[in-house]
Amino acid sequence: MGGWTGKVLRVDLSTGIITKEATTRYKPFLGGTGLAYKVLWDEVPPGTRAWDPANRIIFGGGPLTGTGTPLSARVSVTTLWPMHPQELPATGHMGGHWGPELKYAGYDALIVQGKAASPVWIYIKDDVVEIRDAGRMWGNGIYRANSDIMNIMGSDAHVAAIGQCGENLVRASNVMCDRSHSAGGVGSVMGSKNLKAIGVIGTGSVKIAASKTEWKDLVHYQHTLLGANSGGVVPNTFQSWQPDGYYGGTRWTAANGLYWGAATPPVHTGECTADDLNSIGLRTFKGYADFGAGVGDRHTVKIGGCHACPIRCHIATDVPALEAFGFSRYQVNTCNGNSSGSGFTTGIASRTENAITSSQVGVALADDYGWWSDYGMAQADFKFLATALDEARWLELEVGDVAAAANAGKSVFQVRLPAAEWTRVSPQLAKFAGADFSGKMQFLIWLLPEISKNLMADGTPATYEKMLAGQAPTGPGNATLGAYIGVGAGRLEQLWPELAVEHQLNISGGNYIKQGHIKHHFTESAGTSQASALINMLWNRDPMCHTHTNYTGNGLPLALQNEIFAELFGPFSGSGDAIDGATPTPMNQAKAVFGYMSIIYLELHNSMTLCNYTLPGWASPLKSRNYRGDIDIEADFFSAVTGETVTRADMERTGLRILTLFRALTARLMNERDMRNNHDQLPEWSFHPHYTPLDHDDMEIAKDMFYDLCGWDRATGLPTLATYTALGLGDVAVAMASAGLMP
Amino acid sequence: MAVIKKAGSLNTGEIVVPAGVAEFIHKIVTRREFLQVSGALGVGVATFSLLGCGGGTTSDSTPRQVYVANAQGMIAAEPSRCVGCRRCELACTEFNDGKSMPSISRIKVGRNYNVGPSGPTLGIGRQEGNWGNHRLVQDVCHQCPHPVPCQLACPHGAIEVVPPVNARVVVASKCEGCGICSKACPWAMTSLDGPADGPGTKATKCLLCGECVNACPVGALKYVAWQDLTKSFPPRQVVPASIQLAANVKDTCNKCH
Repeated sequence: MGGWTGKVLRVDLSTGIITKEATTRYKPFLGGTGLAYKVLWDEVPPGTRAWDPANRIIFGGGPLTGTGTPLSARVSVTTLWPMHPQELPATGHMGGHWGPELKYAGYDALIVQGKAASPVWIYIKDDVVEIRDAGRMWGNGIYRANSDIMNIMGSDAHVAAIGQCGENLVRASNVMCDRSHSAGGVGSVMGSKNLKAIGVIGTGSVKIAASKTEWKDLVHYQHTLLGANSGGVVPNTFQSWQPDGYYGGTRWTAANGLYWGAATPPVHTGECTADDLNSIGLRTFKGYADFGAGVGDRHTVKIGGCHACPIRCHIATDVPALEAFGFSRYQVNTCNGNSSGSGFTTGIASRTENAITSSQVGVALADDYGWWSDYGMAQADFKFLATALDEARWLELEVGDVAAAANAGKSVFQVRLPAAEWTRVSPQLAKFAGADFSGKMQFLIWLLPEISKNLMADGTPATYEKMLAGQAPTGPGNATLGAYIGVGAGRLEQLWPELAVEHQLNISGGNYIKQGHIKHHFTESAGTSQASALINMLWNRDPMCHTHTNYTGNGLPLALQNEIFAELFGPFSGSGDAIDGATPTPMNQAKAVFGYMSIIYLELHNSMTLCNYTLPGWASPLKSRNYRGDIDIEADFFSAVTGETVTRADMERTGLRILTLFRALTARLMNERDMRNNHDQLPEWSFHPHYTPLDHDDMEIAKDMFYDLCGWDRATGLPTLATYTALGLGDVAVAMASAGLMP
Repeated sequence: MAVIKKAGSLNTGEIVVPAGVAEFIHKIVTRREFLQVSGALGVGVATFSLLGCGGGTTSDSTPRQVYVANAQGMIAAEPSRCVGCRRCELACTEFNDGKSMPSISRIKVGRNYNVGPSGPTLGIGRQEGNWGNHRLVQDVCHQCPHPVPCQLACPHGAIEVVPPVNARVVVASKCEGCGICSKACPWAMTSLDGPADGPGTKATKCLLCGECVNACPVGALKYVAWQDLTKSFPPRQVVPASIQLAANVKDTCNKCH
């Protein structure tokens, strides 16, 4: 009835065949990641690698994408993940306006397969879909791709494109749309298919099954559950309208006297009351919060973000100093994107003019070259590798007494890079370490293009296999520094064992978790303890899960958070609380449910699609609601849009269906029976007292509890036949049995 | 259908949409009972009869309403506040048309989102919009004073003036979906819900229901008393010379001009 357009677009770049298929078979998995897992399960056999033509890259919208459901504009980009050492499936998430535009063009999702003979881009204007030559676009950045396509399709076009990083098969590369919205990690899959960009214009509609009156009521109702970005439901600083209300460390930072200072003329954010629909977009003043008073507010033009979203989180800046470095003074990005370039620098004090300038220089480079920072893992590794280490530190890295003495005072780069390469790059690294700010910017302007070239020292295209061969038997490799950075943490630690040791020790604070990826809202996230550990061990990249940290970071008092959680998911008789205070407590049932539900709602959000960067809606900013949110909101919107009435329990079962298919898909591609021990791992440092420590035995209990909630076998971590059957995944069970992968 | 929930007390801030305007105008558009409704309620100055050509009954061959009273309200937009969420476009089509369809929205932000009204020729970072200086221009209907370009160009007399705020409104029962109104508007503010002259195709234009104003999360839109802003905003398009006054309008115009 409503929501889905009913068609999935498939483009085979090998044959040039373009097909439009019914969405029906994907509906049990909603859309987004769920749809993509189904495509990968059905079509990508074990043994397929990320850059094989047989790999699929799926741009998945969902039934809510393109509607006025708040937070509904995201598109999930799912594929075999080039950053993972075994290239297991994972998803990058892209906001902006591209996903809704694809829906208006008439498609719930786009599946790209095969490999074009030469560079191409895909033209989509409603029913007209064409594969077009991108020969002259190739070699250029993302900005050029957007400019070229807008000058062909018109200024309405929304473009998802890769930069030189994706073209040159830098594994740490992204696809970006609408200037600042990136799906990390997947850019080289497009590059491997010779696919530069996808331009979309849609003039059609997404139908809504509910009556106009019902829909309007529901949309307005949802606004009462929304606070600020990252789930904050109480303000960060004093507001005169609630002198006795709650305050917390949220991103609800608007206040009297604060301005978007670079707007022309400046815009006063003022106080934003909890019940005011017409200032909800002003609440999250991220420019001020991230770059500091007197800097961030002064350079903020506005807070941008995604289609249909009243919670704004992208900082649109005007930093005139950028023009001195050859870039537009106007940039936009948010969170980790704002350090994707500048994270490579050191010695710049935060919340200063230099900090925002370096950030936005980095944005201008990274978002054009299509570089992905792996959520900061690459920069953390770079800083470790570029820093001179003393003998004691080399000893910690287990290189042995002789090597430690010989290496003392040298960086890993100096030890590992071929001598000629070290000679070439050391003047640049001197700028990185130097005191001169302009020199640091020149270093960035050198480094990002250097990474994007992805070259061996002899000037040929770099590959991991060539790098491995260059290691043999133990000598230095023969790739350029840029190629080593772009290959990703998981492979680099296999090339340079001292990095693998550092990843386990984490003395430099890189926060590597496992299998090539970094932690993401781990135990440092207030009160999440074992739940965040379960979340971080589950996926094949950093988990991109915010359900848990958005809830514990919503600003309400801990006791109230636990009270509301127990109302929603309890009772947990004799269990203890779900969310910890300052002192972590042993594993309990409430914590298991917290981790489990955080995961289930993430899979739902990524499939419907909804934004997990602001949800869940378990709490509300309204005192009149006693700060209670509404756990049914996903079911309510799904029902209203599609006309298929579902309950919260139905939705949670769908979330488990999606998760279980993902689990089977991962296990089959790994050909792994012992998922418990060989997939669901944590690094040694996470059990060290120096960090918020986990306990080995306690985490084994946590796994038991979590697998029980999922209906997965405790011994192997594999889904059981009963679970597959109950979720309607009988065909998956048959395939897993024939592969010897049933518990 | 699941139980649809309603918000409790929501503060709608400075919005001054006259009570009942949206509901009233929706009746006009959806029930197609313009004459009966306006006659029964007798509110506002619906039409200004001149030279025997007032009233709402029109056909291609008979003289029809030409001169219309000024609107009493309008949507005012402020580009430096707009954050580009386009919730205004969605409120417009979802609450009026029951579907999400920015291409027929009666307020238009999407077409200026990337590079502003000047188009893509100036280069990245050198124009308005998300790819430029971040200013996002909302295009709104100016509710033109007489002569109203869309109203007078419509061959079917389908654009009428509706109380209580005298919005220039497409009456769906009379609209043939030819698209001449969208070419006649210098600001390109009317749209077609389908191919021109296609079966069931209707035009859409701003009916001053105020839903976009209600939906704006940053207060960038205001519902204010009407003023003539047609001279303040440059045209979006050149009206083709082939767009003529409707046949049953020309002769009447000649009597005054």
